[in-house]
Amino acid sequence: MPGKRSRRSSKSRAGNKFRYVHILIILVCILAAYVLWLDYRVQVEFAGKRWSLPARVYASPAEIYAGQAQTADNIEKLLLRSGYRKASSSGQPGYYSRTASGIDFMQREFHYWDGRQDARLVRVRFRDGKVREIRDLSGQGALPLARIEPELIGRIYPDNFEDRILVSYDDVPPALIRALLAVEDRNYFSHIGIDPRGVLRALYHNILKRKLEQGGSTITQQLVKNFFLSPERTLTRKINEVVMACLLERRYGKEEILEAYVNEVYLGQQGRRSVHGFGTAAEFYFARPLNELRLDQIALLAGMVKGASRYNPRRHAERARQRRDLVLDLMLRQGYLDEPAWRQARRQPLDLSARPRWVSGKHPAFLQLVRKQLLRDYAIGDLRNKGLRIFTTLDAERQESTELVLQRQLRRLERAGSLGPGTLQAASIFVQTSTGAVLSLAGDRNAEYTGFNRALNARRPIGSLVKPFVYYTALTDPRRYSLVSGVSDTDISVRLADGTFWRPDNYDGRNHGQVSLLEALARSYNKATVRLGREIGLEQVIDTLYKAGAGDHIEPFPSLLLGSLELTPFQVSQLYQTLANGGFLVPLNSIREVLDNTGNAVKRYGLDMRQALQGEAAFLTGFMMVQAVNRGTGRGLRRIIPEHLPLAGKTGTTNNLRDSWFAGFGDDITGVVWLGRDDNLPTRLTGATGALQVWGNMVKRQDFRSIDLLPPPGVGSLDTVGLPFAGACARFSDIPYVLGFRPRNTAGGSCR
Amino acid sequence: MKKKYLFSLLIAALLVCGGCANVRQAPVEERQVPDTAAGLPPEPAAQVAPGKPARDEGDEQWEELPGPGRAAETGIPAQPGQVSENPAVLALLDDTDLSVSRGNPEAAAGSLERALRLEPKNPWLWHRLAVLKLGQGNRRLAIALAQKSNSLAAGHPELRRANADLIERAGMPEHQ
Repeated sequence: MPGKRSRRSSKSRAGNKFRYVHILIILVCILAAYVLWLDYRVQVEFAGKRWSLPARVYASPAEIYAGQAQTADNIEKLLLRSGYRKASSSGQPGYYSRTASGIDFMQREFHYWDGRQDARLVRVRFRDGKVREIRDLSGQGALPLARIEPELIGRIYPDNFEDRILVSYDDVPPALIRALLAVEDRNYFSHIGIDPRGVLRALYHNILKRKLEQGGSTITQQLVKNFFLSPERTLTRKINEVVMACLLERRYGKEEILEAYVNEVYLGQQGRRSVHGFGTAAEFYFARPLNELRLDQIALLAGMVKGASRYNPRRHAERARQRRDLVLDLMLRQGYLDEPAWRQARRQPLDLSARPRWVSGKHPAFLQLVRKQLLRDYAIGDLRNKGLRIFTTLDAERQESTELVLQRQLRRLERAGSLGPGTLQAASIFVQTSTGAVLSLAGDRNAEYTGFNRALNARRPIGSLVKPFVYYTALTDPRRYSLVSGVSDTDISVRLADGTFWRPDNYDGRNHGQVSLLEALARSYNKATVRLGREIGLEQVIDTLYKAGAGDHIEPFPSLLLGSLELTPFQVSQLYQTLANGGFLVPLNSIREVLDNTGNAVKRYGLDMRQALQGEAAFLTGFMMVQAVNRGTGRGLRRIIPEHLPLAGKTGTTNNLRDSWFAGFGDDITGVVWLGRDDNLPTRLTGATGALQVWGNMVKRQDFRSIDLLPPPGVGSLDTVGLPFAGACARFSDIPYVLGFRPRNTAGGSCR
Repeated sequence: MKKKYLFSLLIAALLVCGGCANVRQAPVEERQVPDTAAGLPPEPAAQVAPGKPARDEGDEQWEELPGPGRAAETGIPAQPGQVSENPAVLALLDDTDLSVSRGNPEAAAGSLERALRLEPKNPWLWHRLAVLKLGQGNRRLAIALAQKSNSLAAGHPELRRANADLIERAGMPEHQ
């Protein structure tokens, strides 16, 4: 039955066909769903792509103003610190030139908290060691003052240690776009995401040259690969890449895609940190912003897209140079360059920055303080990801000199004291007294150490550094105490809570009899101090310490009077800031302003202050500390920095010479240095033989003005002639006292 | 044949999902940093946006400060040369005045603090900052700043009077 059979077979054929259609429909649906899913991923991940931008931390900008004591050499130093380079004429931002009468520099555009500073050519002239005049040659004429863009001192990184300096499409140098087109994707602006012609051309080229010189991937494909896909080479991944590239092109404009590419592409590695994007690479390799790069430098970076480690110019200079020249050749061949420009670019040396300026932080100890203070107001994620710009109080110049001095002095002290190298540890803090601004901070003898920060976290007995606060407390009662009041420096025995007795000793093992307060503090007599403290009461002294900013809970042990209480160097600095500032406590601060990633002001940390201690008694205490330096325990400074005297200072030493302290202040700078050992064994150093030496040598290299001994309102000055003890105390001339409480007679005293 | 069929279907599907989806050019958002200020704890007169003065309860007081011109802003009339001889400081004082007149006391405080970094012992600058803080309603700080100005104003009785006056206006006794 052929008819029947054929009917049956046609029926089965129809059934088969029907089944194929079914399968096809299902397959199409699956494929469509898959493509839809890819499309969804492209949209969500591309549009939602937020690069993690570390917060950037800047030092304080240097100010230059007419009349300022300043030299061209020093300004040159400041400019170099901010990444400027010398040129014969300063026509481009970031370059300076020296002239017969001064220095010219082309400033970069920079966003400060109080507004944007445009790029401008500034001329500074000098006369007699001072700034005679500052002119803006780009238009504004004479300037009363100018800031040099501050140095970037560090970043607060996201967990993956990514870093980026984002560049918007408008800021991408046209030469970079041309270079990328020439080497990576010449049909970029006309293809649909994939470029079959490019693939064929690359294939042909590679066969011809018998090596893999060109790839066929478009810029879009490369971006898709980086953004969405894993790095392994499989067929599925390639298919995904092609489809997603087409989808991306369909949804986003060429400029957006290129912008993302410019910011995403991998261009190097430093330790754990990877260099992504041309903006970041420009800083990493040339220490300059992308828009300041020369053609040859752009070509070098563009050439590295193919293999950042293979063409790493720091490691493989010759190979990188050849690659750069190849990029330039391609640009010439494709008409993106004329011949003179090509020739000039090929002649240029690589000209890399000497060291990667790009380190996580130049002064990690200070950065730890910044971070700690920022975390009061910001979530850690915001600091790591949002590209905030943090403007700090750091004086980069001072910071670097204190780091240097610390290293040298510790080595010297170890040699002198027959201590093994690396035995001693240290911390130091210098602040501007009137504003509480932390100017420099060291938390370890090694400035690059990122671990335990002794300045912030090492709690140590403060020894005699507590004494000025004992004497201050007495002087707040001018009816009872003046600088010439007597106190007995003789044996004293204090009954403790557990029934035992505490019998403090003097450092020299001697008793000094009846002495004035002035002498007792200047010479740091222990017995006199304990007697005085007992007289005025322990609670009063503790109250003073709290008011001055000691912070932590203080136990009322009598040994407190000789400094058994433990504080961090940072807390000690706060105490001394308050004392040095006429009793005005300004919370020590390290941050001035926070800007967002586009330069808008987010927050300003304004000056805060309170009158915590009495101004008159604080001045008198400061005066005693000046005498401590002139003729007391701090007199070692007279040899180191005679030019900076008078200044106020106090040494501190703890039991068995475990801790060596020095705190001191001049006109507007207060500094604290601590030396000790992490294992808490004796250092064989007193405050005078250890910390004082370091402090003095730090101050020697700083801008430091001596203390102003002009009494504030409410304080009079007493000529010692005519007083009963004048003969003995004649060396202490012009002793200040609280007005209305002129000391008439004293309990006697021998002013040795 | 089947492959061809499949391929054209794939292309069709591509076009379909490309077409049916909302073809909107989504902006590249990676450079938009969300407003960090929004998530911050309030702090008096410290959180500002440019041109948007941060004012708290002191608003009215600021408006009510007596007298016209510079005298009202600084509390006392001072000869320009008396305040400072440093042109940089004078320029920053001009910036301060400008910011005040634009209703941005926080920017004014920023300029004054910059001037204070150059001349930390200048009692006029501390006084000026005290006036500004009083205007912003920060009485506690205004008093402390006036006291600080006083401590440096040994040779300036008129400035000391102005400080005493400010401390009184801030409603607390001079010595706590």
